[in-house]
Amino acid sequence: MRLDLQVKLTTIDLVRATAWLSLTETLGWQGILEGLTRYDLWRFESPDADLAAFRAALDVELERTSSYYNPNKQAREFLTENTLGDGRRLALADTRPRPEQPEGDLWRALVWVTDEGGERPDLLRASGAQLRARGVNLTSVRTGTLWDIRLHAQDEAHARGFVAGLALSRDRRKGLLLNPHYQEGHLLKLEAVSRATMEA
Amino acid sequence: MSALSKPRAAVIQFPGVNCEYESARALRAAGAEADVLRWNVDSTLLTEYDLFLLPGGFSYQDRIRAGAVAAKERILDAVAEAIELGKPVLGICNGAQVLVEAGFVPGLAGGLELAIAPNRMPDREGYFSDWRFLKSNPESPSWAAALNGSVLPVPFAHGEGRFTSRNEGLFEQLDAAGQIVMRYAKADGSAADGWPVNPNGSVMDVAGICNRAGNVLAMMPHPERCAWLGQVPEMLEGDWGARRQAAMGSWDDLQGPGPGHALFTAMVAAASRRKES
Repeated sequence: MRLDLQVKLTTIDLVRATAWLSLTETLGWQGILEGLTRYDLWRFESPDADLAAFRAALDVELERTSSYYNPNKQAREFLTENTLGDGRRLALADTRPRPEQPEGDLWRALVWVTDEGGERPDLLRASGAQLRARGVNLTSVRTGTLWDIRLHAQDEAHARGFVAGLALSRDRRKGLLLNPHYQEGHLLKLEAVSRATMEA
Repeated sequence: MSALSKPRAAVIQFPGVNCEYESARALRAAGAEADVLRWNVDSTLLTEYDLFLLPGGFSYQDRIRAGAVAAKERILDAVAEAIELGKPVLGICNGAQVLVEAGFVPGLAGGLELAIAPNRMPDREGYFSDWRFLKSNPESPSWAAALNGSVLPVPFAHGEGRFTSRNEGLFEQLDAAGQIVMRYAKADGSAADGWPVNPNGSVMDVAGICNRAGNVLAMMPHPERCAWLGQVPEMLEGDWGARRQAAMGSWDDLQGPGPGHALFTAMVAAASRRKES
């Protein structure tokens, strides 16, 4: 059983604002990139746990410790349906050049950026002991930055290429969100969306 | 050196850096004229400068990752032109992260070839600040080869100082080409043998790497914080600690050169040679 916890700032996100400005004004993704949101994504695993018991134990743990989120400035939400999966690793070979003119549908991509796998053995030890007392065997705690990216692309292949193109840093003009020499980008979701859905 | 022949140094101040003035001061003490220039200055002004320094600090508050946002700034187009012309460029700490993220170092295949990743230390994580000895490489193509294999104590202060790469064999290649300009080492110059002499888990104990041509150096420790003897801790092991103790009580002696001064002297000398050639 896996539970993904999404944590978002309730204040202005200056990291997101800086990324947006760098991508659109410096790196030339203006007109293609439609939206950008940043979350922390925590992934907890307990192979044999019952979902309700796992979630209840984590709820208690999240209120006990400030390691995962700060309620004074962040909001948290469990993605209980495990919809994000393991995703597909972004690869340099996937990157596509930017088109001259933005075209096509609006696409939404969720990219999870982890540092060298994102494992947090320190938190696994600390929270593992707490959850064990509630009958849940926690086996993994991982974390990373989740980027919710909305962009225009002709089709899924182009959308995937653009996501890789703006995420994977390759030199001083290409890519920003991760350095592939110590980070990984997991494409957790890629879907075409209507503007009405997005605005909702 | 006459005033007319002094090379001109540009210290580039990105928002969030905090070592620009002491870096400029260290360059002046080494014989350069040094100006601090903001990142959004008219970049054509940079053609007038003979050497460039990207100082330490936290450009753009380390948002996204250290050095990543500054590495995309347009002023680096002018730095790239200076690099092509063979002008000396030094990035210290956050400046080193910018040079790596921009792909100026190590500059083999072009583009981003390595990372300066979060420290990897046993039983602790995050920011770490202390002094370490650096063994310079006299066989390096870098202007820092003028340090001639000396072992210098230099302070470091970083949370992301670990040179690493997923390009297999990259560091062996850099080692063979002499591009590993300085390594963390014991006070007698012997190999670090890992933690704690190597303070961040850097591959091959790397503290500084240059590009293939040798004119660009990215280093994590802070030579500008030990450019004067008075900045050296009295209890530091080895010759520099002894010099510092001997200077105690003498204002003039404390204002003498510290271990970091030699690096700036080497850089300014390289710029002078290039200017005069």
